[in-house]
Amino acid sequence: MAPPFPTYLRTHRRKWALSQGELAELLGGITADAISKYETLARPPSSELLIACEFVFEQPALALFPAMSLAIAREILGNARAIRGRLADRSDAQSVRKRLLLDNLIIRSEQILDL
Amino acid sequence: MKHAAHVAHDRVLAVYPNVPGFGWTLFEGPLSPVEWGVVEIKKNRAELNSECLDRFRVIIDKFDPCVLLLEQFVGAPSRRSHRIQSLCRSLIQFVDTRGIDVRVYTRADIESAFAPAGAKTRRQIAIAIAKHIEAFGHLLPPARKIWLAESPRMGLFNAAALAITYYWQTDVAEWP
Repeated sequence: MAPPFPTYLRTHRRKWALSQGELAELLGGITADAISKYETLARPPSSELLIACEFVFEQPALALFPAMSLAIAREILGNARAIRGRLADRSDAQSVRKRLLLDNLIIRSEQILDL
Repeated sequence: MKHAAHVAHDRVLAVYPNVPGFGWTLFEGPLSPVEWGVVEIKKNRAELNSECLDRFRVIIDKFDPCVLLLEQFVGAPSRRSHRIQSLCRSLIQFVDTRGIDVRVYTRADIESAFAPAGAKTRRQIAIAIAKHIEAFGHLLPPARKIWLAESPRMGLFNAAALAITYYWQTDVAEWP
């Protein structure tokens, strides 16, 4: 199995027959050259660009920029495990509630990261 | 067909050499093309195969596929020219040095994969692909007039047909 490509922005752009210039115009405030850089990850996408692309293509960040999304998921997984560990012995309602979120988050992250 | 998420899949490169150059598609799952293109060699036609091989090397280096798919190019009922036979052999020789598997499908294999969609001819198969793969819908060339040469874009659809046949035969795909 090959790892996913770092980004599928180009795939989604071409799927909808958009040129780099047209996508730049659609997103606003950027150039075709910038789109080219985002497509090769020569420039990492800003959060604004990520939200704009999610909106345009109706695709989650994971489908558009998997490398970046997986790196974020990996970091969150580590943080969630650390917080979950600290809450392990607590039985108050708030801690139980937090554990519910964290357990679900850990499972989702592990699935995404194929762990 | 089942749609595959972009997580981790075999990267499958299908190539269909034709008169102007070759059409190619890279899939990561059934109905999930990632990259595609039509290579047309307009200059240096005398060195067409060598030019095609150069462009093919770039694609292999960039996308690192696991499998190369080709259509049967020697023996009946194939009627590919000597140049295309030679090009296909060169492609196979090249990917062999990279440890990439090669699968060669006959027209019968392709027709079998597309039979559930009611498609048999190249044109019908291209229409079925355009219908089921959103990314290719706008790329379908108009029906060929008998006195005109085939559109180079048909190479793209012929390559996509190979990729769908691959998934069909490996039992990953099912027609809706």
